[in-house]
Amino acid sequence: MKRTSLAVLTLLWTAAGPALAQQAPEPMPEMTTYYFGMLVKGDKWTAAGAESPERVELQKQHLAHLKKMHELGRLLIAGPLLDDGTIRGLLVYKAASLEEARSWAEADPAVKAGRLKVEMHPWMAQKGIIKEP
Amino acid sequence: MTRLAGVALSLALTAPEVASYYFGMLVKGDGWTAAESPELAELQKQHLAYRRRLREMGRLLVNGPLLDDGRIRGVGIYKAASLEEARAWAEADPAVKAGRLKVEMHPWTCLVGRIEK
Repeated sequence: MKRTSLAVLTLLWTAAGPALAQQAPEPMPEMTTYYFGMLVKGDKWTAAGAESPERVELQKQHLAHLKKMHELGRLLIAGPLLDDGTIRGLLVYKAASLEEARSWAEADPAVKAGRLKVEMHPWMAQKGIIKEP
Repeated sequence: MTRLAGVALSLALTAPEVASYYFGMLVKGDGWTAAESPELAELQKQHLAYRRRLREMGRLLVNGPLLDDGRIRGVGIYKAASLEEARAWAEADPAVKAGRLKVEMHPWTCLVGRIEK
């Protein structure tokens, strides 16, 4: 009796296998670990003086840092939030550790000046959607 | 809006290669609990199936959990026609409807690098 139900179960299992596979529209995506950073308002943040030469220069250096990190293959994507809240921008780094990703993000002149602050988290996501430079 | 956000926005609107997206966070909801139960396991299964469907429909480009067990449980990048649309998709998640997770959605532009399914 036991042996029979086991045999039936096995039959059901092998029969269901290919059928389930056909139903699945896409294979399970491969996952990888990135470092997900948020640039938030720092202690020295101020909305005033947006047109000042110092601020324009700092913003230029900030963008140059992001570009350099991208060219080095460390920073995969980056961009600003468009709703003027606490979170100013997003960063996705490919790094060996959280500390490494954080140190790269904190080398940003706008972070060093205290205008922005880094919050970095390990993140698991689908591989290949975020393009590597 | 600050001038810098304005510059980013006009960049996004004028440069055809710069696409606009929505950045969604799933944070701990009022019904969050760290305890495990068969009900939670089932809810998690439904949550993962729903997120997978959003991805397969092209509404969610990339998403996944944060691995540090904080307030923010997961993040994702959505491609939607409006903030309201992206928020509605994220809030139709069984785990959000159950109050376990809460949605925070923001408009976002990718200025460095490329993201595409």
